[in-house]
Amino acid sequence: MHKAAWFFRESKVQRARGALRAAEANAQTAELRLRNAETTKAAGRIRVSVLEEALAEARAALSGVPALQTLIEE
Amino acid sequence: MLLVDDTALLRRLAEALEWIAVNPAGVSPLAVAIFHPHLAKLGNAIISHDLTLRSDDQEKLRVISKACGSSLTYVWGPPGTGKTHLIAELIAELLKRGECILVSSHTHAAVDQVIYASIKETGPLAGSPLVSEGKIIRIGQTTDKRVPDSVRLAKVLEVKAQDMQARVLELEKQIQPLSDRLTAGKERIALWEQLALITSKLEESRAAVMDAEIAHRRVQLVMDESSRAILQRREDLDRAQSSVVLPRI
Repeated sequence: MHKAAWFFRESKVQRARGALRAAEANAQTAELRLRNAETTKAAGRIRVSVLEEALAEARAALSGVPALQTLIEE
Repeated sequence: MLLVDDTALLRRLAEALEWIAVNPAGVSPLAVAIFHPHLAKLGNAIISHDLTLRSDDQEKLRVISKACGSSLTYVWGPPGTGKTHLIAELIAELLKRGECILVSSHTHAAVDQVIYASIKETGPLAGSPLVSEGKIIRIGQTTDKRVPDSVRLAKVLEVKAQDMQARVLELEKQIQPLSDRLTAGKERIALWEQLALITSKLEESRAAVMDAEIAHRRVQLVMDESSRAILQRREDLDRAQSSVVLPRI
């Protein structure tokens, strides 16, 4: 193989490898962000669930209690 | 020891009286009327009170009418002519007119006699609610047993204090149920406030979850794009590795 042609082919291969590594790094970053987003979403859902439970308890405690405006007027 | 000349006080009193006589300004209206009688208001008032005087005692009626219509009235009479009884009638008449009266004398006994003459069974204020309500008060030392306890200052204060104490107890009784209601109301309001707080937090959390879902979808898209990019780069690498270098012609 001619030396110059070999260098030309080798540089193409090196560029392709570099591009592949960059793409893999991007994919890794994106995966981390995806996991992070999933965690945030799951935590938010748990918080919503806890608050819904607290809301139900508060409503149950207030069953039969006059409305706030009525209490203020009293 | 301080020795004072026997006449010193009398001289001082005489000087003070002379000073008032020539300087009417700055002294009380009564003093002005005494020392400058020409400035006193003189007149007659219509008597509204049912006097206990004898119907033929026109002289005393005239004195009471004049006393009620004037700022100053002198009454003189020998002992036993009814001066004390007249004062008692005058007090009753002035009370009827809504006046506030101060009776003073240079002896305690004289004041006691006026009070007794006013409130005794045949007096003009006999059975008056003013006595039971503590509106007639004897201030100062008194040894006259005819003056009832109900007009003595210490007794009046004692009765007032008892009334006030009873009122305080009554108000405390009234306060208790109101206080209980207030506490219950505050607890209920706290429940409503807690409900509002939880609702608000819930709304915030739901919004945060929606934001997180949107972010998740966006990152998912980026991830898909990255996966496609990796495949593309692998293909590029394979092509580069399998490329053939042609010899120079």
